[in-house]
Amino acid sequence: MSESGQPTAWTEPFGGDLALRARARDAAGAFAAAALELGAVLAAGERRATETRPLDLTAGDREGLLVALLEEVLVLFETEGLLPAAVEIATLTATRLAGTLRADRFDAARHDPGRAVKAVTWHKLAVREDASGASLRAVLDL
Amino acid sequence: MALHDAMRRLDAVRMELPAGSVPGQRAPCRLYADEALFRQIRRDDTLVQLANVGTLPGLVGAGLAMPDAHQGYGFPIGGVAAFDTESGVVSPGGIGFDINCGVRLLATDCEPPPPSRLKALLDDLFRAVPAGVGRGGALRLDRKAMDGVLAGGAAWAVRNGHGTEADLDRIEAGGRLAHADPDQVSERARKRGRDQLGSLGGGNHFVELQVVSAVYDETAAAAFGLAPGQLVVSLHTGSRGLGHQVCGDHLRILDGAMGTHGIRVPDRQLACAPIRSREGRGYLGAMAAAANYAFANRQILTALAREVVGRALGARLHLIYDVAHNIAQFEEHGGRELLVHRKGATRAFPAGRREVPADYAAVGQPVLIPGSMGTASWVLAGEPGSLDETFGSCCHGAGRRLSRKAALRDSRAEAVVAKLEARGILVAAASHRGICEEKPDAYKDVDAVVEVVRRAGLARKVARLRPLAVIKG
Repeated sequence: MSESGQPTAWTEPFGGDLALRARARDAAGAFAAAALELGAVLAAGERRATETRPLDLTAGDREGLLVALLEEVLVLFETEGLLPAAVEIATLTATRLAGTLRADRFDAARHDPGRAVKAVTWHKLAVREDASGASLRAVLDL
Repeated sequence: MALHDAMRRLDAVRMELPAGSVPGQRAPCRLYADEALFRQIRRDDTLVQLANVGTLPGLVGAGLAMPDAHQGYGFPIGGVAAFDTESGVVSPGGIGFDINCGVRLLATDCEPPPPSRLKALLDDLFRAVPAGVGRGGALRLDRKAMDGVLAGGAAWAVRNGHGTEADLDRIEAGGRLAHADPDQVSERARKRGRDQLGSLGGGNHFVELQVVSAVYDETAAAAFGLAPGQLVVSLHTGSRGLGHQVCGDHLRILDGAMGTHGIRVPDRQLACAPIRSREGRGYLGAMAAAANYAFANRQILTALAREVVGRALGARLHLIYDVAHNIAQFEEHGGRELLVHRKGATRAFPAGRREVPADYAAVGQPVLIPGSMGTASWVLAGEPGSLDETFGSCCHGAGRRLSRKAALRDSRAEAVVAKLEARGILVAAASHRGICEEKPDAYKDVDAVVEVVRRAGLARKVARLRPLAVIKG
C-alpha cells in the first residue's frame, strides 16, 4: 500500500509479459486495486461508473480467486467493452469472492487502447496476507 | 550453483542440464544453442523453466528447448516435451494460452509490385484484415456454426466458401484435429470466440508481404512452389480469446485435480493430469477444438488476403503450408505413441513421414520461421535429425530478447517506422505501442537461430524471405 495507507497497484516487466502487483491493508483491498490496475493496462483514460456487474466467484484458494477476478475483468472488456471504474468486494473467503464491479464502456473518444492481454497466468502467482497488510502478484500473458 | 553453471556443453550447438539440477527433476533437459545465443538465454528464467519440465511424470527422453527459447510461464517458450500416453501427462502450460498459434505461408504467381502499388496493397490489406485489440473478426458465429468450427477446423471454413479442398492438404494435421470435443469448450470461451473468427489480434501477430530473396535448396524450393524474386504472404495468428479461455478454464480444472492424481509441480502453470484421466481427456478435447478454431481463423484470413491480392495485382495465392507452434499432438516416435507438446516450437518432419503432404513427401515438411518485424523469415525443411533428437521439432521464430518495457525505452513508433521505410519496408499497425514493442532488435537474430537448427541437423535451409510490408496487430 502507499505511505498514506491507500491500496496501490502497479505492473512491472516479466520477460515479454507483465507482472501485476498490488498492496493494501487487507486482501480485499489488494484484489480491488489489482482489478483496477488491469483495467488501466487494457485502456487509458477517465472512468465513469455507468454500468454495474455483480461478482460472485469461487475457486480452490485465494490465488485461484485472484485469477478468477482478473479473468472476469479481461472477459468483460473483451466481450462487452467494459472497463472497471470501481470494484467493491463485500465477501472474500478462502474460496469465494462476492461484490460489485462498476464499469465504464470503452469509448474511443475518451479511451486509448492499451495492451492486448491474452490471459492471467498461474505462474509465480502469489497472495500474501499478514499483520502488515496484503500483497499479491499475477503474471499477465501478453 | 547457478543453473547455467550446471549446463554441460555437448558440442557447438547442444547443451545438457543433468537430471537432479532442481528438486524433483527426474529427466535431463537439452538446450540447442551456440555460445552467443546461450549468453542471451541464460539471462532470464528460461533454464529454470526448462528444468521444471523435467519434473513432470511420464516425460520421455529429455525436456527440450530450441535456440529461440525465452522465458514464458510454466514451460519456456521454445519448449518441446513428449509424454508416454499411458504413464504421462498433458499440461496446458506446455502449449500456452494461444492454442495453435501458428504461421501460414502463401505464394503469389508474380513479383512484388513497384513501391506505390505495394503501399496501396498494404493499405487494402490493412482495411480488410481486422487487427489489434478489441477488433471483431470477419464472421459472427451462432452456436451451430461455432460447433462446426470447433469440430471441423479449416475444413469448416472451406465448406463455407473460404478456400479450396486443395488447401487442406497443405495444413498441419489437415487443418483439423479429429479428437476435438466441442462440449469441453465453455460458454465463456465460445462467447469470447463468437465474433473473433477471421481476425489477427494484437501482440506479435502479423500479416507480412515478403519476397523470396534467396534459395538454398532448389529441389525443395521447387517442390514448395518457391522461386527467387517471388512475392509471398505470411500470416501469424492463433485461436484468439477462445483459445485463451480454454487454456484458463482447464488450467483451473487440472490445478484442482492434481491432488487426486498424486501429482505435485513446482509451478502452478505446469498443472497437469494423466493423459488417460477424465481431466486430461477433457482438456485434450477442448485444446483440439481451440486448435481447429485457429486453423479456421487462418483459413478465413487467407480468403481475405486472396481477395485483396487478387483485386490489387490480379495474382493468385496458393497455400504452401500452415504450421502450428503452440499445440500438443499424438504422434508415433520410436514405435510408440507419444503426446508431443510444442510451446513456441514447430514440427519439422523429414521426408518419409506419413504426416508430410504427398507433394512434399520427397523433400520433407515445410518449416516456417518468421523473423522479427523488419528482419528475414525462413522456410526450412524437416531433417531426419529432428526425429532422432527432438520428436520431430525445431524452433518457431527469432525469440524475444528484450522485455516489452525495454523495447519501449527510447523508442518512438514514428522513428521505428521511418527506419524501416528507409530500408524499403512499409508498416501499417493498429497500435503505436505495438510497433515499438515489436521493433527488430527486441528479438534475437533469426539467422543465428536458424543456423543452430541447421547445424544440429533438425532442419535445412530452403529459402530466405525478405520483408516488404507488414501489418501488425
